[in-house]
Amino acid sequence: MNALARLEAMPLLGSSKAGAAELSDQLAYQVNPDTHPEDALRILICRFLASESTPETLAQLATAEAWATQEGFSHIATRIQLLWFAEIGRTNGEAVDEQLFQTAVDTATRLNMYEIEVHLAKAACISEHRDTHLQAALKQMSEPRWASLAFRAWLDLAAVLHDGSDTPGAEEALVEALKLAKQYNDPSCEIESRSRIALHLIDRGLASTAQPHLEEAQRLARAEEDDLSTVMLSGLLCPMYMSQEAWAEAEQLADIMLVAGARRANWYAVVDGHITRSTLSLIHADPAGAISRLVRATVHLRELVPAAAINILKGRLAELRHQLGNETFDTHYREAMALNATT
Amino acid sequence: MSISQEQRKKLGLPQTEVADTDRDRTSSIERLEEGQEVSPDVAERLQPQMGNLAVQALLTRTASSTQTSTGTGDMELAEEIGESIDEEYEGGSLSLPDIQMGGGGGDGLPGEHMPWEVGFLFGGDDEPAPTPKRKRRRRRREIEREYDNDDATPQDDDQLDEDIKHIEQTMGKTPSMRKEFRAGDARYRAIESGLGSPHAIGRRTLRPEAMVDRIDELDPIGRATAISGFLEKHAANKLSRALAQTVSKPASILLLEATGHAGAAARMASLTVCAQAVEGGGTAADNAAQIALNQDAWFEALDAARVLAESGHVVAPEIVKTAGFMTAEHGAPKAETPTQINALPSIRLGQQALRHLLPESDIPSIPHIHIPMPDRPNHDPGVAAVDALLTELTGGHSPTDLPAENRLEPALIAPILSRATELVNQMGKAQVELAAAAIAIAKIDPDVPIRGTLMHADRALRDLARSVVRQGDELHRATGAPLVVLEDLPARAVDRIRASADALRALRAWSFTALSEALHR
Repeated sequence: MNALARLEAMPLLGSSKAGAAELSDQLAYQVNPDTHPEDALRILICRFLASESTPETLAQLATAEAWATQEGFSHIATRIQLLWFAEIGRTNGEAVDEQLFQTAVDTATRLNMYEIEVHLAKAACISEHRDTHLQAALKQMSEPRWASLAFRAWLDLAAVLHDGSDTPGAEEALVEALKLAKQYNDPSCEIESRSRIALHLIDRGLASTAQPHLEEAQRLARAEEDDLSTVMLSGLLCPMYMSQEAWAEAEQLADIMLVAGARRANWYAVVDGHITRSTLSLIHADPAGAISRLVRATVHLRELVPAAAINILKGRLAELRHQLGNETFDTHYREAMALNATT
Repeated sequence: MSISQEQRKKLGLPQTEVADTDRDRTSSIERLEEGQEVSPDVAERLQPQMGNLAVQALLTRTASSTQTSTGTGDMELAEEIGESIDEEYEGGSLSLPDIQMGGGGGDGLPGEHMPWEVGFLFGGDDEPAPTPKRKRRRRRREIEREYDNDDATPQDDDQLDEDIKHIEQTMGKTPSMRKEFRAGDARYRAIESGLGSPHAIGRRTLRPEAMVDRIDELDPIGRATAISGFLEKHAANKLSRALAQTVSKPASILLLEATGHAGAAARMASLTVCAQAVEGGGTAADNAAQIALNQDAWFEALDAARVLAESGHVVAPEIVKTAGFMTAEHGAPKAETPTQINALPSIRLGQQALRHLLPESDIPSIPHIHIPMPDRPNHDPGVAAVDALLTELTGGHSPTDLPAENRLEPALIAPILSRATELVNQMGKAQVELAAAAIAIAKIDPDVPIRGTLMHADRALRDLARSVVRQGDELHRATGAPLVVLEDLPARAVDRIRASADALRALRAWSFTALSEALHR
């Protein structure tokens, strides 16, 4: 098996994804596009599949398609078109030219090639029978080289089934996506699929079933230093712990929100962390600590964060004043203000 | 602003007669005489002066003159038209005159009209379409008033006005965030409009059941649910959609009594920002979310259009101006940078936001004209002879009579003319839609250069309306004429009306893209 065939056979999930990207870079240097344009185009397709889909990579794909057409490789041009349609149709259906799409599908049918790509493109671009096309594609995507596209297809299928009110079907699809992520040891995909499962379960009112997924996804997100996922998952988990009176876990998550929220500049997550810690102080019969934390946050974050975030802290202080009574609150509040003035 | 002879020549429109030249220079409705034939071109020229209602009235006149020329008009009707036009423009009434033209029906007096509606252009339906009801402007909650006046009397028992005042007095007013710190997720500012005052945030209790209907976009929790509601439908990223769906409901687990209303507001805001960040796009995508929530823009545009309908000129740039907003010009060509590829997702989101903001578009599909073929005798001579005999005996034509001439019957073109009228209405509505979009954008950033887009779209809409009116009028005039004489005129006119409908769809899409793209400049 030559290097290019090996590259095309590599699964584009988990650790082998990085390996595939590396190999495609190596091959891109080795292959002369003037003498071996077909090989160069195949490498470009692999690079596209191994990378995140962005407007830039989609634009590169369009350029590759023009090149393939120019070179007379209609089969490669058709595959590129189908991959482009499959991607663009998922996010921006209006950008799909129906005539061009139909031509690509017809060409693929005539060539008797790219059945999977045709199903994926149809699922993305045609509003009817999306689930049927995705299921048909997934049936044929058992080989490792399809892992990345299969993972995405399972997530898409879950969304389609969810929209069609097939909630058990949607959950099964998400679980299949999770299986793939675990099989290829891809933490990023695991975080995504677990988050989707958890949100799906929360929507169904099954928060306690969602909790293990949230915990595992949050642990992975922290390990991957994925602050966005960390903030999101902690924000969902923290109220669950609070409602279960799991104070230690809630406190830990509040601290995580303070750090990850500040790193993302999501100041509402930081405020949420402060309010949670303050509430825990109150629960532990420490009203002075509860007030002091909010006062300290309000004073220290002024001008550094949106006024809206400060307003939330002020609103919470007012709530505590109402809850504790004016006299008790004002005593602790004065102390906290004085302490902050001196520091 | 009226179309000049030069523009008319460029557009390939028929020139007005020399005798009319002087009158055209100062064309106005008062100069038109009763029973005078007015071409759609003249009608179009007068349209900017008087709005779409003028087109309706003038084309009504055209129809009446057509009837007169075919021997079916009557002077009383012409006088009635003249009076109603005078009333309409001098008195400023939005009610349409009670006119029935060219086989059309309806009482012509619908209860309430949208400012773009032209009524019956070419005769109309037998049954008038139900008039869309104007949506009532949603009253904002007391929060809005509280922002304006800190000393306002609390309207809600749940609020903690005294406690908030105490905190505000001791802490001082909340300063604005420094611009240099607007980075990362702090770029997502759409949520902030709901958190503008601690008065709305601090509450005595957090009752989860009261949150379900919290849809006011200026409420601390309503704002988060409204933004999430938009993302749930229009975000490209599926994780963003899923998270937004959880926040938009909102899921009960997010509303924890222990951390109070303020804690819930913080959590909802944090997760909303997360949903926005997962979708990506930074400030431009955030602007899209803000546009989507600016529901008042449509009603402001509608109100301004109603004012203009009374005085004339129901066109997007004027509507924006009447609503009290200014639109910025495009910068110097050198200053403009081409749109970057990575801006495309947020431009898409901007388009979706504009569509989310506006009522659903209902551009009619124009049916093909169906010309019935004359009856042919049966291929079996015996059967044909029996048919002919039966026809004669049952009061039909004798086999020796000449076959009846196939004519363009009113019933053939009635559905087309009805749809054409609706199409012109939709073109007028598009002017208001564009104005609403411009108002929503101007509220976020008055310096966004959108005036050029509005001007182009306005011009194109007028051209399209003129084309539809001309083709419709041609069809209407051809009513009753032998099809042999008309040749392919009916089919050609219908094709052109269909092309105008397609062009309107394309123009709407282009305008929204251009407006959304302008947010990146």
